[in-house]
Amino acid sequence: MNLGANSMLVFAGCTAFGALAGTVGTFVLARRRALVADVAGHATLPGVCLAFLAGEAFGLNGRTPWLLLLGGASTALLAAWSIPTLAQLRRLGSDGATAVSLAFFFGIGAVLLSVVQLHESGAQGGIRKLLFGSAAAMTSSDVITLTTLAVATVAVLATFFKEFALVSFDEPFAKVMGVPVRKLDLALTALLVATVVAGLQVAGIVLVVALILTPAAAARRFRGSLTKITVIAATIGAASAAAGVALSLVVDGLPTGSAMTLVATVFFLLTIARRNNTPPVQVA
Amino acid sequence: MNAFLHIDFPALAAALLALVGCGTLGNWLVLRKEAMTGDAIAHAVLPGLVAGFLVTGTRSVAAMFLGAALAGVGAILLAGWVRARTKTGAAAALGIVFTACFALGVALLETRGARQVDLDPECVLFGSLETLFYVVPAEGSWIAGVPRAIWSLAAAACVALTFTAMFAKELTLLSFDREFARFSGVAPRALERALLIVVSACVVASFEAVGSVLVIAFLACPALIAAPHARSVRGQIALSLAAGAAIATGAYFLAAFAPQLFGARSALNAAGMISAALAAAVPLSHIARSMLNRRRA
Amino acid sequence: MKKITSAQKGGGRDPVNSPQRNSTLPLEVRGLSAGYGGERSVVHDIAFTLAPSTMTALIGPNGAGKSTLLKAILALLPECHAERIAFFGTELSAARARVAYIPQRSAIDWNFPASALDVVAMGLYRKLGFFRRVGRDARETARAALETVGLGAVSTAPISELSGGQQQRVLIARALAQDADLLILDEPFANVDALTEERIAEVLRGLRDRDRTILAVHHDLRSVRRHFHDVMVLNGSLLAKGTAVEVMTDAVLAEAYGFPLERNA
Repeated sequence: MNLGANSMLVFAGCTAFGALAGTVGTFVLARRRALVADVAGHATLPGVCLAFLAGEAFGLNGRTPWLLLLGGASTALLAAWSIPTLAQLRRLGSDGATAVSLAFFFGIGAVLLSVVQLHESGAQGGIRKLLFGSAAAMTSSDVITLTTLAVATVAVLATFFKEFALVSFDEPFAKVMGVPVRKLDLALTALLVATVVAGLQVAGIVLVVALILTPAAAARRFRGSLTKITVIAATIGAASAAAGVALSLVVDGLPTGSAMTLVATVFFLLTIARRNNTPPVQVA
Repeated sequence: MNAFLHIDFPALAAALLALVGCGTLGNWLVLRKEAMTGDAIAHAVLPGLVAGFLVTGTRSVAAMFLGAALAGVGAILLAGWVRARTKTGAAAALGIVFTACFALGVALLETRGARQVDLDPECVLFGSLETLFYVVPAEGSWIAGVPRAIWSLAAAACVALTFTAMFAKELTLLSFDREFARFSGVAPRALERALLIVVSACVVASFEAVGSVLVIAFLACPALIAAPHARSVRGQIALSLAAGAAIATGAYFLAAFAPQLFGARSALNAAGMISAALAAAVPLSHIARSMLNRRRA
Repeated sequence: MKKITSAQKGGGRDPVNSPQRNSTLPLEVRGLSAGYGGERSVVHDIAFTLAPSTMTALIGPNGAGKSTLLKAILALLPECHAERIAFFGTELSAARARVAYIPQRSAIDWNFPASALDVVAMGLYRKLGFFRRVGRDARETARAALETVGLGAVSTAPISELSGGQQQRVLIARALAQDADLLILDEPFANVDALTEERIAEVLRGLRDRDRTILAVHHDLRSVRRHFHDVMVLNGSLLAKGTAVEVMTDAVLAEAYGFPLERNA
């Protein structure tokens, strides 16, 4: 087992991310944004590559974490914005819009990745690790960036918890009450993107969406208030992330993203196996 | 010219064959408002592909095909079950199941099979068009030098076209009015399963050469480009293939030769370029349609 | 007016006197309960029969389970228990060719790339069977069906360019092409203007006069008596069945809808 000096820090960082993903996922699911999360994850690739290339061009270290995350976040936001915009085209529909956005951003990402790989410096290895996640390769500065993001995101969610709850579970009612639905939707998208980029190093571009959706879907099988469900989702997310990191350190070559996803899926299957006839939370 | 024949022609042929297979079937997915099902299948076949290899121990095409097709259909059925059981939305169920499948596939590849299966996870995503070469064999017929991927892609394209031609009527009704199709007994459940199996088979065949990014694009984008202009299903399929082929060819050459204009030696990722170009063409096609309508009105 | 208590025989007309196209009852339902997989069923304990060459409206408030009942009868629902559902005295699988289902217009994607004729020809797919294309004969049958509903002039038009009423008539023409004897329609008059409603009703009456049996979900209480001879009132269970004149009374409607209604029909 490859436990470095900062392994405790890595564990803490990943657990924090798991909790964050579960929390945000509860709202993402309730607001039916599951596939937006998928697209946002994939759409970080072009931004990360662009940030890397820009960093190299300006003589910064291309691997500066905050720079890559900022790049990833900007293209992910663009993709998340593009889906409802494209869906307004008659005949395209939200399903088609999602597929188009995914194909576009991930395609551009693939092209830019091939540009990045032209760079002789060994630094592009860092970007390749972002595809499937590699907790072992995390540095303490990665962990600090990640934890800051997680804390900030949870703080925003906690502050506006009841507004988010209202919009997620009963949009027409919220509108009538004068809650700014559009602004909250934007905020939720921003939180989703923040979560996605926070998870890049941990779970990877392709599978970060699983850490957002699967624990939240598992938690919805329980009964109780929204607060309780959110807490359960966060707990399952944190447990999946921690167990995933441990597995990936033990099993040689196992990418962290795959390990976390599989653990979360096991949790999900366990909650499904539990017989439960009534829907836990009424979602409009 | 020689370089074109040996390097670019095989890659372009592979991309176009994948377009014929996935693009044709994609029309049915798009007509059924299931463009993202292609995305799910593209991710879900991976564990079947790897498991097919690990079980038989050989790189037998049949075993990997069978494994992957089973995984693809299994994942879709599982997603349906999850949706029914948990009352989460269809999209969420799909997302949960296919990420789990993909994670399993990547885990199997990285821990057990990567070297043996000769499939690196990155090439699963972005394809390996760049590694297809045509080498004139030292002896025997010229055919022997054609890359293996070309043959499996051609076979998949034939299967897709045959299936579409044979069941065009039933698939049309199924896409237009599923309840009527079901009720009148024209399109039984078996036909829906068969569609999933054929899509999975095409995805597997295309996967290795063009990667999941381009498979997703081929399944959704050509049909979406053609949709606003078509007046019949047959017309939509024909238009989607024609437009898709033209755009894919243009994008391939852009990826292959544009860097040379800037003095770079290496080519860009062609699968990514084709995917992005096809995706960009979809909104343009829709906007063009509404401008035409406005002028006519 | 008769209250439904148990399995009830006969509809509004005497089957013996009606013409001989259908000698058996087109539809017979007994002890039917159905839902969507939740713990409580949406409709329960339904029993009724339709006599040949009748035109029956199925009415009831929103959420009464009208569409659910239709889908349950047609075996389109996963959760359905019934003592007996018989079409022309036999099971659905043996009578599919004689039964046509016309879904709500809103359930269909009208941007689908097809012409009016293409859609009508779909009614013939079953007869054609696998591997046979739509040939000239089929096209002629489809065209004739379109003529019958007054759409001969727009047969090649894309369905996206048709008006709502025309789209509804295309769906009816599809049932005609199928040459079905029992037509089951879900809200054929939804979202069409008054003139279109009259034309659709006329088409349906014409069909009944040619010995078809018609069952339609309907929601406009004011026009029930104008369009339909027979009426069934549903709210979870079947509250009443009889001729429109018998059934459309304040007492029944108050029970179904929870309030007495203005009667300006």
